[in-house]
Amino acid sequence: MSGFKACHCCGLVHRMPTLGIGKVAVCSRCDTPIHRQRAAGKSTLPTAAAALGAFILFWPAILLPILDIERLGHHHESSIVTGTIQLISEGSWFVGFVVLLFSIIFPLLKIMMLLELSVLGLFHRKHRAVTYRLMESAGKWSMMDVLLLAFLVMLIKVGSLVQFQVGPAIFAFVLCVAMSMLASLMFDPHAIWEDA
Amino acid sequence: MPFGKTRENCAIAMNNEYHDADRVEKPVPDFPTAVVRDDRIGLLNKSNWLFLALTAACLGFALYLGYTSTVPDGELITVHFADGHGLKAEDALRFRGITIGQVEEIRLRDDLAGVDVDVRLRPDGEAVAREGSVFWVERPQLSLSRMSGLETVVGAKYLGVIPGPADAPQSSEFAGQENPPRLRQSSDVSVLVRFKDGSGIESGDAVKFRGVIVGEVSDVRLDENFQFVEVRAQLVDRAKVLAQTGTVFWVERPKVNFRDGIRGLETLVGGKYLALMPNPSDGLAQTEFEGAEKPPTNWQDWTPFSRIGDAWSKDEKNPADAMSGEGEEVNDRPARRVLGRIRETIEALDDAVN
Repeated sequence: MSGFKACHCCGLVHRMPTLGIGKVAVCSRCDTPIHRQRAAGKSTLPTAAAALGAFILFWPAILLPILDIERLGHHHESSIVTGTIQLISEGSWFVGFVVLLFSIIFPLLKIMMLLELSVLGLFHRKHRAVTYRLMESAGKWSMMDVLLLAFLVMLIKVGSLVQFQVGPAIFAFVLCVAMSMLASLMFDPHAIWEDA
Repeated sequence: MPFGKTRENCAIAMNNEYHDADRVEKPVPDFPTAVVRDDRIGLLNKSNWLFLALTAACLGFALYLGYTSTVPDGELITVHFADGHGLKAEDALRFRGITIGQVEEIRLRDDLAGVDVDVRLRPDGEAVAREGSVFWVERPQLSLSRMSGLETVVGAKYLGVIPGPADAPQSSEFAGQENPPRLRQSSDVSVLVRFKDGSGIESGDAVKFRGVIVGEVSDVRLDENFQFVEVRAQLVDRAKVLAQTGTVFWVERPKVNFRDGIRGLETLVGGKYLALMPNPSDGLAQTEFEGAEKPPTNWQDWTPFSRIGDAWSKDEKNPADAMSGEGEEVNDRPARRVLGRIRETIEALDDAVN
């Protein structure tokens, strides 16, 4: 691999040495990895795999019951989707839409854009930059992990008032958050323009 | 250190570009070469299979979760009630105080004659789905003699169940009982007693023998020809042996009688009950009786003239069995004969007085 690459941390341009398998080229000034050489296949494969995993887990996470609340003998089971619908139908428009937007729509958008960038390649090359920028900004607003934290806080705070158990969706939810974080962590923007 | 060297290189590059602009040939700016290291997360980068396995694991987990939470694992039974009593989906079916099932759906019958309640049993509670099981909707019961189901005043209603006999065949359709039974035990014997007059006895009232509850009235209705009142009662535990030929049933109610004194006063407050007096001698098992209009005389002095219970199965452990088992045969024949004679004398005296 010859040519030049700028360090995406400090911006210093480097001449790229030829890399052996399992080697990584780091910035001479700030030690940021600039380029790593994979054995075979596209360098986007780890991202694609993690994003696909997150995409698969996303559906059980939002559709299956996540909480089973029992108060005075009355059972109430709700998933993220039914909970959001309930919030909106009960008139809590603001909270409902906040949850809908930041816990369902943005995370899904982010995962799908990661998938598009890493494996699908549906758009033309010049649109990929737009997709990437969109992904970056959508990613900032995808707050599944915050929702998870909210659940934890609720577990501790309200645990003494009502009885509740977490449903099967919570496991899918935790894994989905982990996978989407892994995917965006491993995503290398250079890889977008690597092939073609 | 790379830092110092780099700055030097940069300075050279800048010099080349800007200060030596008057030179004829323009050399390529001398950019630093990136440092090559061993990839510390090389394992992740080397193996494609690892990532594909990760995705496959995610898929497998998602499918497993989807399967376990959408495909129900217990049996579905249907219980028919005349009245829903505020029962709704997700309410529990409880047995011995724990939840063994959940109401899945409540439908009004097509002919509006009642409601069908679909209950999804948990796998460990499937044994209650057998013939003879009694289902009811637990709800507050408040009367002078009885107070139960108070937790359902504020909380959710729930279904209760008493399983049928252990050897009964499986079933998935049941007729629910309208009133919660008073005795939460499975019944061994159901008897039918015909009365000329119901005397206000109703379903849920007790069956008492010597003042102790031995059973419960499960149903009171008029027969086909409006000729009798049919009282159906369940006898529990050892009391089932009392259902034999010659047993007398009557409805205990307040009565002032010169000979017996005042009796049955407790029924004024505590409600009526069905009293019974068994046949003093061996009888055959029987489940249909004609009810007596008034209590038999001296019924409280009743003594078993022979060991009762022989008419019914021998599996019931009674003290007499235990005694004979130990080899101490109680020879009470003479005693019985004496008692029988005393009894005859008393009856004769009764007749003479009347």
